[in-house]
Amino acid sequence: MSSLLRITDLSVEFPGGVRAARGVSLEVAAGETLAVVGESGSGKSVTALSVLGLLPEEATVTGGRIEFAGVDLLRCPRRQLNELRGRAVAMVYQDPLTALNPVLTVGRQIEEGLQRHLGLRRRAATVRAAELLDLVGIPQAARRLRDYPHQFSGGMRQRVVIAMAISCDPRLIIADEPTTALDVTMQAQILDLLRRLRDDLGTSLMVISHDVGVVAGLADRVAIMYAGRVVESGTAVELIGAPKHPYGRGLLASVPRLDAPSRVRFAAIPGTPPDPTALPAGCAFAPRCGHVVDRCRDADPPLLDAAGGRLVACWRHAELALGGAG
Amino acid sequence: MTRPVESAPGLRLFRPTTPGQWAGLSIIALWVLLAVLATVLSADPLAQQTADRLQGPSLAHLFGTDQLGRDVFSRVLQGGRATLPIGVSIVLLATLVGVPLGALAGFVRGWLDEAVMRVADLLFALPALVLALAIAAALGPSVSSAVIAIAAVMWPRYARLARGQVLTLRRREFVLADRATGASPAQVLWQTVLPNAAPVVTLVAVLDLGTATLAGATLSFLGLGVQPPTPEWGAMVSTAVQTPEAWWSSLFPGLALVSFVVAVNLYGQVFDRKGLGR
Repeated sequence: MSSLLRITDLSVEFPGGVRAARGVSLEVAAGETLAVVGESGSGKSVTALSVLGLLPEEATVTGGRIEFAGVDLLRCPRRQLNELRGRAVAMVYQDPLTALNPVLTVGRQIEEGLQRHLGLRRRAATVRAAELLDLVGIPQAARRLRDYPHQFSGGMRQRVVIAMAISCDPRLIIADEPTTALDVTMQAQILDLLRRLRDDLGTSLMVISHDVGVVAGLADRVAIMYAGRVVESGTAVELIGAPKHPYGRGLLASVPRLDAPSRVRFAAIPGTPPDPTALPAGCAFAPRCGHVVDRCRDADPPLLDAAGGRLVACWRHAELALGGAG
Repeated sequence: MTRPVESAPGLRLFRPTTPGQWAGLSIIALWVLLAVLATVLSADPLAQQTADRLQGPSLAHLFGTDQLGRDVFSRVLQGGRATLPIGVSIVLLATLVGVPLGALAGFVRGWLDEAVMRVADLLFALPALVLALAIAAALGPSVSSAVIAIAAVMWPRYARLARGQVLTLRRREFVLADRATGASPAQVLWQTVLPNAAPVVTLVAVLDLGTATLAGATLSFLGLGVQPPTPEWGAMVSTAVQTPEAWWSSLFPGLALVSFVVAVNLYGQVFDRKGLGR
């Protein structure tokens, strides 16, 4: 499988020594869906924003490479990056209310990309915009093109954002917490829509979420991030079925399950994520880990192959798997 | 909506809601209408009837006559044709200079931001009217130099405002989203950032219309703006001061000016509502 997007050893730093990403490596193959899971501050959004060169000004990329279809995104000229943005790589945001321009009609906002990237004329762009709104399940699409974002409900707005994202038939869609701002029924609908569009259009998808449950049914592969690093990655079926990293286990154990006995309490991970300005010398998860040994505090474990395409960054994952500890 | 400014602002923002605001808007509209129709409604404002000098208000001369026997009523109506456009021109010029400078400064940052804002700070630090007087005097007394002089001390206000708007807007997610669709910086600024800053800039410009009109009339009063014999409210008061016994020749142009400025401020309350801030 050749990868469409390959992030290698990406490091991003904010002023004050905040290391938001510390050597993140991820790959998305053509047509594949990768879910990046982690709690707030784990560096998943920063990684996603780096791909499109949309990091806040104060952040600096201190190392690594991001390659998209052979183009080095961190070093390519701005003009080339602008051509890729919205055309080959599109983005879906967490809060559809703030991601749309309040003073332009949604039609105008969808048409803009079509005119810019596909060279459509105004009229052709309008026709296409209506088709797109229809495609994402907005009733009376042609009429609603003239409406402003505030005239749409939250779920409908997210559909508009998705319509904008797919408008130029991108090869990769990056969805940053696409359902977090929506209620549960809307979440299911939007996830369904994303799945359907991905299958119909053959687009690659990189979904970022703090909720394993949200991405479980959508992703081919899952990467779990913690404190600016990928701690475990593998196919969705294997990783969600049997996480090898203690953090991954904790994360999955904290997801409520329908098949669990009703009085079982959710297993919360003790402690809080480390202060990104004062990370421990060894494994960042060590202070919260139930299986910690001296080695964990001394050296940060690298992300190593744990057989079957599975990558784990834990010194003890092999023995823990054998011992069945959890 | 929980966030009123997020909804498309549009013209609803400018609709009066209280009797005071309606009164303000009506008076503004009335003066504009009178200025437009002045040539039809009034006699020749320059015609001198030396025999009728300094006549009090009567049916023949509603507002009396001035020291040269000119009809004050006609001159007040015609005066609006000078005073009001001067006020509007000042605000327009200040906006056209200040907004692009401030928006660019806030968008590009760096040395441009420093340069623009230091000049703005300097102008803020000096007393506005004194500075305007100096500039107008240097340029020579004329309508255009009065407009330029006042706009020159007013634009920093708009530069600051536009810069502040751009600084907050550029971090908003929809601006990021626009960049993510491949918009160039110029497109982002022009199509996404500026339209969102426009409502606030417009309302400040409307609020400033009264101040600008008053400042323009002040320069004319001091002899640096509209030159006699052209009728203009400030200049008329200035001339009438020489004949204090003919109270009507200064009262009516003065009242015209005051009523217009008060009307603008009354109407300006439109923007003084929750969620907008000033």
